[in-house]
Amino acid sequence: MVNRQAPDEDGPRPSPPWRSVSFTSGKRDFVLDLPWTNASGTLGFSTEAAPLIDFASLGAFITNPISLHRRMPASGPRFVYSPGGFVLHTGLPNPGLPSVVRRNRERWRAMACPVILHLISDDARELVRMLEMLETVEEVAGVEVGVRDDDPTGAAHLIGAAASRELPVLARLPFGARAIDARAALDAGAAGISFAPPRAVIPGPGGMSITGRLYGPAVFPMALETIARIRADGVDAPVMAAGGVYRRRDLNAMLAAGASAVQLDSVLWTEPEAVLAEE
Amino acid sequence: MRRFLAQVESIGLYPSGQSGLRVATPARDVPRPGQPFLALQPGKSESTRTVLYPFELTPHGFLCIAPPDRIWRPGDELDLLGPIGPGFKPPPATRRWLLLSVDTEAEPLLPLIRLANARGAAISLWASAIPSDLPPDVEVATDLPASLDWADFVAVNATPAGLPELRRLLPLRSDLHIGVRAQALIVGPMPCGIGGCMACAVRARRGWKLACLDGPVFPVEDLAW
Repeated sequence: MVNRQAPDEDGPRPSPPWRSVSFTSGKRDFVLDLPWTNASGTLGFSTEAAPLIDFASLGAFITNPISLHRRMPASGPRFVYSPGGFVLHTGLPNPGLPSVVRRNRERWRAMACPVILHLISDDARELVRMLEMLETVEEVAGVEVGVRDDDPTGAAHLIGAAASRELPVLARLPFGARAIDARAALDAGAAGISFAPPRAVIPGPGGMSITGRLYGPAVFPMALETIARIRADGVDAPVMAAGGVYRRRDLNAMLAAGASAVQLDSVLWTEPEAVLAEE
Repeated sequence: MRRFLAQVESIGLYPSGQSGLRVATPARDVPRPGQPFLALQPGKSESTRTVLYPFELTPHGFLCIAPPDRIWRPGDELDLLGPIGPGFKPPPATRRWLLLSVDTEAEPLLPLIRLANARGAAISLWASAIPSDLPPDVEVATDLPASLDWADFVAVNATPAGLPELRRLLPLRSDLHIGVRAQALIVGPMPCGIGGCMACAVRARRGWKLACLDGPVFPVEDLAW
C-alpha cells in the first residue's frame, strides 16, 4: 500500500474550529464526526473499496445510486478522459433496493461510520415505498435523494414525500443550484443539501460524444463558488459541498467557504491520503 | 491486488510504431498474462488512473503501450494498483492455443506466447492488425473457422463494443458453449479499479459483471454476447 501521508491510528481529524454536524429530520438524525464523506457513485454499495479506504476515516459512507428495481449499465462509451478530468455515464446500474439491502446489510452493520443510501426515483410514491422498506433497516442512518437537473425547484414534492417518512433526507441538488432551490428542498423537509457533479459533454472514441457527469480538478473553482454563493444568499442549513477536491487545501477552502462537510469523489480512487491525511 | 510504487524505466518506439513503456516493479508484482495495472503519477492531482495492459513480462516488471494521454518520463514514479484479476488460466491439458483479437490491439494477448512455450503448446494468432515483432513460432491464422476447429483453448481480446463481433466470429455450438474453452480479456477504462464507479460493467448472462472486480478476463460463456 502506498502510504505517503498516512493518517494517524485514530484517523484524520479536522482542523478547528470544525464541529460535528447533525442532519436531522425531526424524527431521526445522523451525525458526521468528520467533515468529509465519499460522494455517491464512488465506493460501491458497501465495502468494495476496503482494500483502499479505511471507512473509519470518513464522516459517513454514501452508497452508489439505488433504484427500487434493478437497472442495467448504460450501453456505449461510459468514460472519456481529458486532461482536466473525465466524463462518466454509467446508467446507474444497481440490483434494486431489496437486493442491495439483502446483500450488504451485514457489511453496513460493521462499518465504522454512518451509512447513507443514495436513492433514485422520479416518482414520489415509489420513493415513499423505498423509504418504508428502509424503516426496519436500522443499519441505514439516512438517505440522499437525487433531484433532476432540469427541475430542481419543482422536485421539492419528491423531497417532501421522502421527508414525510422516518429517515433524514439529504437533497442532492444539481450542480450550481441556487438558494431558491435549496430553500425549496429545505422547506419540503430536507435535513440538508448536497450537490451532484456538473453535467457535461465530451467527444469520445470514434467521434461519439458522451454525455454524463464531469469529475476532475477543473470542477473545483465552480464548486467553491456554488457553496460560497449559497451561504452568501443566507442558506444556513447543513450543506455538503462537492466537486474537484484533490488536495487538503481544496477541502479546507470548501469548509472555509461555509460547507458543513465535503463529499469526495475520484480522489478516493487515486490518492485519498492527499485529502484525508492531516496537514 | 495491492497499491504500490513502481518506476518508468524507459520509453521506446517499438517496431509496431507504438510508444512502449518499460515499468519496473517489485518481483512479487510481476503480472500474469491478462492482468493489467491501473496507474497514475503520484502527487499530480490526477483525476483517475489509466489502464496499462502488459504486452511483455520480465522478471522485474513489464512492457506496455504508453498511454497517449499521459506524459510520463524515464525515472518517473508510478502509483500502481494491481495486478487486476486472476488473468488468463489456460487449462493445463490444452496444447493448441488460438489468440483472437477482435476489435482492439493484439498486444495484451502476447504474454501468453511465453506461457505457451513453457507448456509446450502450439500457438496461433488471428487479429486484424498483426504485431510486427511476432516470434517466428507463432502462426498467423488466416482461416478462422479452421483455426477454431484446431484450437483446444481460445484467448480473446475485445472491447465491450466488440462483443457482438465476437459472437459472429465464435458461433455458439450450444446454448452456452462454443465447443472449446475460451476466455476473454475485456479491455476498456477502469476509472476506480475497486468496483465503485461501475464504468467497467460488462453485460453478463445474469445481469452484469465488473471488469475490475470480476475480470477483466472472463469465461466467454459468462458474457452476454
